[in-house]
Amino acid sequence: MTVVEALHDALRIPNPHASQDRVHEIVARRLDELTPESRVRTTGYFNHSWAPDMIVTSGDEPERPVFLRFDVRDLSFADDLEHLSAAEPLFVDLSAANPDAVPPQVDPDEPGFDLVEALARVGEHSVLVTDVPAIDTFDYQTQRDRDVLIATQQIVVGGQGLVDRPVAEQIANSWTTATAAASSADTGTLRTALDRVEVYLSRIAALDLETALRGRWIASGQPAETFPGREDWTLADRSPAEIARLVLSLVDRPDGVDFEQWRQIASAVSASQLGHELYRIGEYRDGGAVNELVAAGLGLWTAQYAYVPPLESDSMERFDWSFGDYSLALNLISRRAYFTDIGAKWSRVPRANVLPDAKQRLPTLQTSDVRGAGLVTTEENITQTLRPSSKMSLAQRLEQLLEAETDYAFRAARLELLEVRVPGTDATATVDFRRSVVRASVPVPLRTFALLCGRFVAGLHEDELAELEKRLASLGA
Amino acid sequence: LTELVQETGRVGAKRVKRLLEATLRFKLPYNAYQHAERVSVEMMTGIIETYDLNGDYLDENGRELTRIYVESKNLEGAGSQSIEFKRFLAQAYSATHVLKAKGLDPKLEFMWATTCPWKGDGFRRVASWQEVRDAALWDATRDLTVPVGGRVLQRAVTDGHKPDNDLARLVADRIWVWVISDRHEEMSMGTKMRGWVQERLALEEDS
Repeated sequence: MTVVEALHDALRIPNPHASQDRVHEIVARRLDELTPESRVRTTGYFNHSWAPDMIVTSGDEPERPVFLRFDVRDLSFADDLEHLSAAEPLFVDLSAANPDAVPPQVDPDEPGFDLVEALARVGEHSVLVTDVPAIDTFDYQTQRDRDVLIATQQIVVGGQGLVDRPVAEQIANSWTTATAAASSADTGTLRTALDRVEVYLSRIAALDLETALRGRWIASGQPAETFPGREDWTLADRSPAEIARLVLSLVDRPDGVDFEQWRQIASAVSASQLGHELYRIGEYRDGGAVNELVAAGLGLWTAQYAYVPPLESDSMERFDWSFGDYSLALNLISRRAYFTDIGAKWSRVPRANVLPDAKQRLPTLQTSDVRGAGLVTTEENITQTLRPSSKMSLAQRLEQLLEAETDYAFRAARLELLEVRVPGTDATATVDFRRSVVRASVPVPLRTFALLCGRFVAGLHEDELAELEKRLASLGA
Repeated sequence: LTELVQETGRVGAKRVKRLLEATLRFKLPYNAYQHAERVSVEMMTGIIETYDLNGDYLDENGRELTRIYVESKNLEGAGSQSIEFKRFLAQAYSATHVLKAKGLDPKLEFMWATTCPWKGDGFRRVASWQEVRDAALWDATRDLTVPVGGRVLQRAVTDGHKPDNDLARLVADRIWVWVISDRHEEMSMGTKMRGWVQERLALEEDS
């Protein structure tokens, strides 16, 4: 059943409220399907003067109000344009599905209401008027080619002008042409096809659309900067949010990306910014291309803070990198380490129920880098810090304490805190096991931080550490 | 209707809708131009009368109380409103009579929204119960060949019907007469305040 048919039936439901609910349900679902990166929610208002029927939310971007209308083709719609344009709304004309619609009487001697001209008059705002047949067209085109969803996403969140059925067809066809041209690096065809789509998009939406396509361009072996975009484009000038979207589109490419291209991207953004923006997008990815991305960034990136919570069970994806929740993350078998430079990012994390057994952790502390520890027993909290002149490692000192057979409390001691020197740097790091958070005094190389988390927080065994070190070395090679 | 008259009507109805909805006490999604069936009411004589707007009248907390039918008059002068309003009262009486006769009373409300008053002295009493009663009686007995507001209309109230005073009182309590000032826009919230309210409403809806 087409959207026109479904809405026609819905508008014929005798009870007005049931009819309105059904119309909302149908339109919201279709818009939702056309915008994989957005959320569409209904408001309870139907064809209201100023309260939208729906709101489209896309991450941190401004919400887009959606107004359902029956009268976009007559002069009364000018009232809507005058009063609502500042909110940059999307109007959906339902008249094609309206069983009661009476076309306005047209006097051939009088110029009627010109919708395109009226929309041009509010040109400073991105106002989109579309209709049900256009939604049907997009629906059909996206079912034929899932790639068209990239274009419909931007039309819904940042479209402008009048997008009726013929325009919807033109957009879908031009987008298909553009994607093929990007894959074959056909600059002229690509630009022409993009122009046909972008005329119906706000500047931001057009740039977002190009970001999606730029991924395909890069995957075809072309430098990102040679993409025929509407504005000069250099990686170094792009916002972390834009780079994050580019990364997402590249990670999803089936044909992979060159190491050098990943390296260029990694050099344009910090691990923290990238991880944070990918978290805001909310699309989770791990292993494979994500490992390749981190491989390129490992020699460039730093981090100052890590959140290393325990996993519910040991993971098979050991030492795989991921993004999409919290920040860039590394699987450490029993824990996952999330890295960032944002100090407040881990200020409200859940408290650990169980602290590591201090005695079991002693082997991992057999290094002069460990300078202090906080222990909890059933009887007391102890903080032990080595003097700079100490001759023994902290592990040796703790061993004497924990092996005291006479005191049962010490034998059950738990590790609450660690102070460690970060190898190869002047930095120190504090491991707070209660909060599963590691704070370095200054940003440290990501590779070093990853190893530190593996050794001291995840408590990896020597063979596992060796494997991790090897993986990180091969990634950065 | 000429295109111009029709367009004036549409534009006027749209403005009435916007101003009423701005109060948050009305939701008027249906109009005579797009939803004839939704804005129609059956009269005692079996004919169907349509109104410019139809929707919900809400209580102070935004809950739907009842349905309301709005007749919008976008006029420069008084025009033939006096006689048209009389017919409007007769229709309200007739529609309510039909529903009550079926054992129903959905408490329909009727609003006359005009840009121009049509009566000087005594305007505040134009919708008193006596006026409703008199309008019903007039419609039941009027000469059908004489146009009402330029149109020849069938009766809304059955020929010979003797108006019920109690019903006239009930209907009078459900009549609204609203004269819209040119400056009415200045009595409504602006875009910014509407945005705040909308945000709050969305939160309520989410919770």
